Amino acid sequence: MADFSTKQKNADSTLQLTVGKVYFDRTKKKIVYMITFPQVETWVMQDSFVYKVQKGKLVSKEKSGNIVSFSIFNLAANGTLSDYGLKSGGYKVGKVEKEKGLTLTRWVPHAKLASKFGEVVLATEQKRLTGVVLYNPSKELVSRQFFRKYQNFSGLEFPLQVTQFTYTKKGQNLTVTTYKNVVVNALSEDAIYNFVVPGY
Amino acid sequence: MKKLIYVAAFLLAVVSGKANASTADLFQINDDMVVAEMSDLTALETYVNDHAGVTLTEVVNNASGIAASLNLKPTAFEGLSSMLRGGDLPLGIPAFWWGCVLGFVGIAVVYFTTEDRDETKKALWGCMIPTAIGILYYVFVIVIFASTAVGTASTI
Repeated sequence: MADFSTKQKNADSTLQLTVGKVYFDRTKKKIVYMITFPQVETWVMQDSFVYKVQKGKLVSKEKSGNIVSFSIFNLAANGTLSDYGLKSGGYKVGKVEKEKGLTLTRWVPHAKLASKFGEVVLATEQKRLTGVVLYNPSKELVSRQFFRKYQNFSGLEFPLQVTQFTYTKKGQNLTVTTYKNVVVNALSEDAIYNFVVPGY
Repeated sequence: MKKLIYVAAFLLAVVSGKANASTADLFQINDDMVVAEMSDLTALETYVNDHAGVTLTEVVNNASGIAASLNLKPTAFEGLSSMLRGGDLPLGIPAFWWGCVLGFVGIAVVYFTTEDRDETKKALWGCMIPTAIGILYYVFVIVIFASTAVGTASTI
């Protein structure tokens, strides 16, 4: 579990701040966000869905695909953050080069995925993932992500800051997520790890 | 003329060389720019952390100095939410209904606003289903009419 805050500046110049705590259960493949700002609500990501709960009531359920498997928490817990989970996610290694002190690995989607996903370039430094550049199938830049301020928590390497630039037709979105008070194998707060979505 | 072509080719090479920055450059981040872009939100974040449990409504009502000038959205994680929805759809209306109600115009609206192949497909289905129902309806009417005509003729 960890405290988190996400600051976002959108292309339309609107701003968003989200603050709360996040809980990840590797065995159950479940992420629970206990959000306190902008309003109190709980987001549960499990079984390819995101459930939003407000005041004890389920207010929405949306398909999320494989979001938990590719979350930073799952990748870090499984020790696969350095390849961004691409090895097991339908990508194969393309060109590898060293530039400006970084090892840049180009990952190419398998033919089946090529119509939906573009290439991904990962930057690693001392075997730590420091950056991800995503392209769409038309080879247009979609996003740049930076993983920084790594700390070791009981053997788990976790970046305390993730900065992301997302490029859309409307312009650039900038998101900065910071994590604090990371606790691995927390023995308390079982009730939140076992949070049951109303009606499920 | 040849000289002009050489000059044009040279300029093109220079421009494309600049535009084609190395991949490593994409992994450079301007920290000062990020800090400046986020300065308003950082101030709000500090306020929220110092006032545990405060919500946006309370910030707007009680600490207007901080939030009043900010163009704040009242929702969490817009980026993630948008990503989960598969991108922003025009007017927030599902693609299927754009195709269903407006036909090819609806498909065009979805295509040009989302540029998303899957959403456009949904709009196409939305267009095809009422069209198919319409065709079936006309076939049904024609069959009924024909059988009635045959029936009438058989009584002569």
